[in-house]
Amino acid sequence: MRKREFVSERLERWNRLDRLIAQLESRRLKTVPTHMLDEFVQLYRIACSDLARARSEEMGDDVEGYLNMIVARGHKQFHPPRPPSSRVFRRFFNQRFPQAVRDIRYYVLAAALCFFLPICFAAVAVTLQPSLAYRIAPPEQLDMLTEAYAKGHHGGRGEGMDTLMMGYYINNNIGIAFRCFATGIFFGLGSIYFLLINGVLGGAIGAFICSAGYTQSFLSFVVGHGAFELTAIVLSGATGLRLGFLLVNPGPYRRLDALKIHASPMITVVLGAAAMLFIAALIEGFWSPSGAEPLIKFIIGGALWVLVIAYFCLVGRQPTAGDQTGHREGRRG
Amino acid sequence: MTTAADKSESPPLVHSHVSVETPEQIQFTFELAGTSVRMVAYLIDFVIRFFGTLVIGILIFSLTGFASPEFGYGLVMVVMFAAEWGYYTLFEWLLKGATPGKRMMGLRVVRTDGVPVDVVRSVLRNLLRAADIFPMAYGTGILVMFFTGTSRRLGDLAADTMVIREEPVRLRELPKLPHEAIELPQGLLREVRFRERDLQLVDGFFRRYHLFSPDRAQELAEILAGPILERLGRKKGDAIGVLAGILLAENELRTSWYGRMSAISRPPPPVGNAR
Repeated sequence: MRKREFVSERLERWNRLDRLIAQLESRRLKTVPTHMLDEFVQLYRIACSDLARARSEEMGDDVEGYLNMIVARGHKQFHPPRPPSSRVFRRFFNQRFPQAVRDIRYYVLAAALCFFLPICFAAVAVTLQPSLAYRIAPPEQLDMLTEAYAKGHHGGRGEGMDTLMMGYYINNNIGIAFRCFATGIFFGLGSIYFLLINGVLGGAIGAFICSAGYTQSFLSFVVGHGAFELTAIVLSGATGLRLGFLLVNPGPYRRLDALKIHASPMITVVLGAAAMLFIAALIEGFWSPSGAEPLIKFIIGGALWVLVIAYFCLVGRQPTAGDQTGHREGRRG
Repeated sequence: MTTAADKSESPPLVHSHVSVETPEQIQFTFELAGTSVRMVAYLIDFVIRFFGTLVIGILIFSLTGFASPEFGYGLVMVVMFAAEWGYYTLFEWLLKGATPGKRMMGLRVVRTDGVPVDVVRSVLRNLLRAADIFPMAYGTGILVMFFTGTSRRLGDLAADTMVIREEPVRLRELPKLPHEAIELPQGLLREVRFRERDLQLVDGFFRRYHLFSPDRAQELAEILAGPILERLGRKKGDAIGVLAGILLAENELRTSWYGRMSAISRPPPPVGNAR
């Protein structure tokens, strides 16, 4: 019986491979001695060919199933994912993030329009007729915010409160940015929705506070973190639009393949935006409400805007050697 | 326009297996995880996230003291954020594609080419939970899982991943044999090389035995055992017993392998069975 001979001849090796894989699964690659790796590679290749033979000779579920399982597990050890390194982290901010943003600049423009136009419209409308704000934003929130700005920021508000607000901004704003991106998969509609809604809300609330007479207090609060926060929301919206438009017009690829090709730069932008929102939350929690002079706040806020814009325009312009691979493929199509 | 030919080629509505071809040009198959088992894994993760946040929150408050509760609340909100958006990616990275819930259910995220997920894909598939969860209770995700037929939600499609069941291979026990098995002469076993396909047919016959009426079972057994019966010079009434004998003789051999195949991969131990 061929099956009997086949199995009894090979079983020892399969068992050995099975044990090796179990060891590889539970250890870090660096701690595995070389001879074990050599043996693994050899035995894995043999098991592959054994599986092919077992299939072609129809040796049955037991042998085929067993070999299938070993090969599947071995395959995973054979092609492990690369672990992230600190170099990757540095290159992310030096090159990949600003480059990826420049690569989708038209989407950034579109997202900025979707966000800033509603802000302007809502602001103009509410300035002309302040009561309109009560129909846009929740009245309790409006009253609470107006009250807060009426008090001004003289002397700050204490560390505990600052931390509370920072936590709130991280949880709320980064969550919004992620949703703004993710819902872009519905052909961009979700991103547009989040941009519009947040634009209208922000514009209405801001204009309402200003029309109540607290313009300086409000603007000096917002200008500090605005550079990071507003830009990051626009960026995640832009990535959502990119994602949506990719599904509308995948170019020469099938839709899923187009996604596969462009996934990495999109993730780069979304994670970069999340990092920016994290910075924004720190500023918004600890600097914006501080008791500093409004003039100083305006100067620093303006400097941050210049910094952010310069970062995206200038950083990572000259790709270094070895940068041509990876996410740059995303430019085609 | 669809033609009959198109239809015959269209895949079945729900795949439970996908095959992956390796660079060694070998195909192997994965069993896809279905919607329900993934829901259970999700619920387990949900409970872990909930209590994890709770415990860390209590720790934060007891360390910072209740003097400045705002400070504690601020940190708790950061933890909540991490639990919502970071939990899955963190564990899929640490546990090579599994979260605690997935691990308990024997599931794992892999790329569609069978390799474990990398961080970028893990981030993408977990960010897109925000889309899959829309409008509520993963409505979109579940619909997409049904319509793609491969049990992949939007996040999986975008990240080119899939969730597989990683149960160790199950070596099946011998089915219950209803009759006294008739021992076959050794010479015959050596002479006749039973094809695996035929043995599986016999195996399947006994697995479904309880579904047949006695007459029908006898009828089928006669068809299956026909040539052997003739050779042994047995009556047709012995058909079922002879089939049982074939399976038993085969099984002796298999039990000896199974014990060793199961050494590491812990399938249920084959039971010597049940006459």
